[in-house]
Amino acid sequence: MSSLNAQALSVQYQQQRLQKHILALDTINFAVQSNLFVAIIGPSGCGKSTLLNVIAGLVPPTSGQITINQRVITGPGRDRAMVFQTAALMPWRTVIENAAYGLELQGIARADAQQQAKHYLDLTGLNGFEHSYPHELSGGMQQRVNLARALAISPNILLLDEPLSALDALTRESMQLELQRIWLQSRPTAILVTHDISEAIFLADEVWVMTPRPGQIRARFSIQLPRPRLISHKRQAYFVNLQEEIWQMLGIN
Amino acid sequence: MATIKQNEHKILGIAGILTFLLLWELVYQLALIRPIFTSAPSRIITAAQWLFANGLWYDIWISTLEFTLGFGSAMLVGVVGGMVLGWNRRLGAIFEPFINLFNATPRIALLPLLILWLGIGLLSKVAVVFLGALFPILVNTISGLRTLDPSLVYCARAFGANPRQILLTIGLPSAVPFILAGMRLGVGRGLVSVVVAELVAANAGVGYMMHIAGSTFQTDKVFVGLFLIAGTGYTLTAILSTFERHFERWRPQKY
Repeated sequence: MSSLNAQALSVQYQQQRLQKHILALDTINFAVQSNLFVAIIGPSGCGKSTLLNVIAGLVPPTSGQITINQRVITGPGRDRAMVFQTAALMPWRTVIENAAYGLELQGIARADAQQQAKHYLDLTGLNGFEHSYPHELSGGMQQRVNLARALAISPNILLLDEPLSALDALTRESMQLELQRIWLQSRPTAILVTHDISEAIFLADEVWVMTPRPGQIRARFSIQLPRPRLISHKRQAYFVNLQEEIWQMLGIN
Repeated sequence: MATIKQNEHKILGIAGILTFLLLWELVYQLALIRPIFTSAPSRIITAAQWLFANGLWYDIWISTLEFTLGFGSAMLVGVVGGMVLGWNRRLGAIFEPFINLFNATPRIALLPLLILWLGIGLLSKVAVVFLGALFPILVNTISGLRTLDPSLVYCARAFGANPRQILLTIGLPSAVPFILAGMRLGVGRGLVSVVVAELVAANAGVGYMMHIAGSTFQTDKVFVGLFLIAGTGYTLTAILSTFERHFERWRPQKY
């Protein structure tokens, strides 16, 4: 099982147009045990997405490092999969071809890849839409394909970059339930970046609040709610108080 | 009734052409026009029958060969070269000035040089068709590979795709509509090239036949050539449109 660690992780961007250095992440340390669901919340531009990109291996750290089971990350790997904010589906591929994409890149034969992907399409409730094209699906369904594509490679670490932020409020809430149900089935370590405090509390075992740039982890809240959680939990005093506390910490009050 | 309604536009189009041909024949029969300038459908058919019995097949064969060889090599060089230049920015930067310069020159202007180098036979025609069709295909393939959806490239990289896989799974499929549009342009340019080249200097081919017929006032034969070329252009464009529809089946219907 994989534990995810960051040691003195900093990321500096060079903004070419303005010739400025931007410190996106400032000496971050954390340790995430396997099978934990972590939600990261923070003001816009605090480096949440940068953190995900570093874990994904797409952005190299300027200093410090991230390790998975004591092994330093140097690039993307099969042990991690990302669910993107916009579905990022190839419009010329059908649903099942999109879902099988990650497997295909690993060199798995097309038929086998699609058979494996089919399982995750069923899991994400897309049974019967395998041969549709992305433009024929609603936004919520496209996000399910996005999720199925990530799950299909059976990642140890699932990275979720505001996956529900483009959805309307109703779809969003039902997708939160879906996401929990699906996550409970395979329980990969999950890192969710979101702007939605109630979404973070609802889904996560731990909620991390980040400071404005340069990003640091300001506080960690352990969420003591039994699973599977219900939407009605959102109205409980415990939930509401926690929400209020995080709101205040973010200084939006 | 349903089929008539579905094909209404097609039927109207065909009816338009038939009416035009009928009127043309009528004014000829009524001796309202001079056939030495305008010919007439019945005379063109007669001329065609005579020509097909007297060596037109050979001219068609030569023109087809010139076009096929020229266009085929333009397709190969255009798509492969475009992929290399579109993918490798540095190579692209080296070759772009040449391509732009060439693309801005009417390729027919190169005909005197090509004839000087390659003679008035097959090779100079193949070369001029090649140059005519190459650039639309090349330029389109390059821009097709350079206008990739960044979110898809990002996604591919996150899933561990190497550059070759990104090219094959995202670059190439994204470029297909551009490449096909380039080919459609290339077909038109290639046909113009083969006809003009044969009109200027040749010893066989449909354009050559038209040139000889025109300079000896055999207007009917000129029209036979004209209809042959028009028909070829129409057919080739239709075939390419079918290809385009096949590759575009994933696109949302616009209406």
